[in-house]
Amino acid sequence: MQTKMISVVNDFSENPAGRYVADGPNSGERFRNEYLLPPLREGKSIVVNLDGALGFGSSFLEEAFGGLVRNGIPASDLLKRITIKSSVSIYGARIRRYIEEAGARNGRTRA
Amino acid sequence: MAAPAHRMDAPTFIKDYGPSVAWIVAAVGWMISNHHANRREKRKEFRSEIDAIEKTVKSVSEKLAAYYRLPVNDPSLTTSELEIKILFKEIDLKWERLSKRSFWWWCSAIKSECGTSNERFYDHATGAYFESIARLPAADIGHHVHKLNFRALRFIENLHSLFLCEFDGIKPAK
Repeated sequence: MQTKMISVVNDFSENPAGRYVADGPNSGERFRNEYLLPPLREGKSIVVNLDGALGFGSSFLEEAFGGLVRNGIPASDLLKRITIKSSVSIYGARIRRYIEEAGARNGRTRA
Repeated sequence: MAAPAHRMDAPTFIKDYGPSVAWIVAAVGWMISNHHANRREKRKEFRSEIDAIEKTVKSVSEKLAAYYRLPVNDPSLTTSELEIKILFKEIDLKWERLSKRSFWWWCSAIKSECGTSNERFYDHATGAYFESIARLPAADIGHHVHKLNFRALRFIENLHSLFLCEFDGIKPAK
């Protein structure tokens, strides 16, 4: 399986902010739709590097990653295909939690 | 007639083994003393790290209370949001550093509770109405801020409970 590397700070923004596109130019919704969904729908794995960003709000992370489940990708699939790279390891655990919680809410924990 | 078997009496024992026993006693004494010194140091470091986290949590709570009261087009909204996110990153880094220390096995439940309460505080603080075009209705600000402060306090109290569990053997009530 091919792997796509994504750096939030180099590819997207140093200050990712907000949940929806309406909230601002660097929202979780835009990051998900433009950077995460396309390679995932092509069957690739992705490695997301969070280092260098000034910080993340839960609204951004939940919409970007939890929103993948709401956009049709099962949580179990995401947990296998997304790797989070960060010097703050809590971010990886947090994102896994958002994916699992979105999966539980959607009832789509299994492919 | 057979010679009598050699019997070790106290003076003979002390003469033969005294120096070795003295070394062993000194070594054991040093090990105990060193262990206590390390424990004291660990206690001080732990306390210092909790105090640092508490200070940052209080700082971010104050900023959040002010942030939610800012009007829709206030020019300081973006700066305030950035400051809050940076403070949460600081809390995450400090908690992560603390959580990587070794703890007694019976403190694992309270350590897990610390992580959970940190997550709840973070989710509530930077979830709905944070970095959002929609502002929190004025009538709901008070309740939202109270809930935020409650979650912040819960996290800090869990850290103190972890300290008591690790160093004083006080397990929190179930």
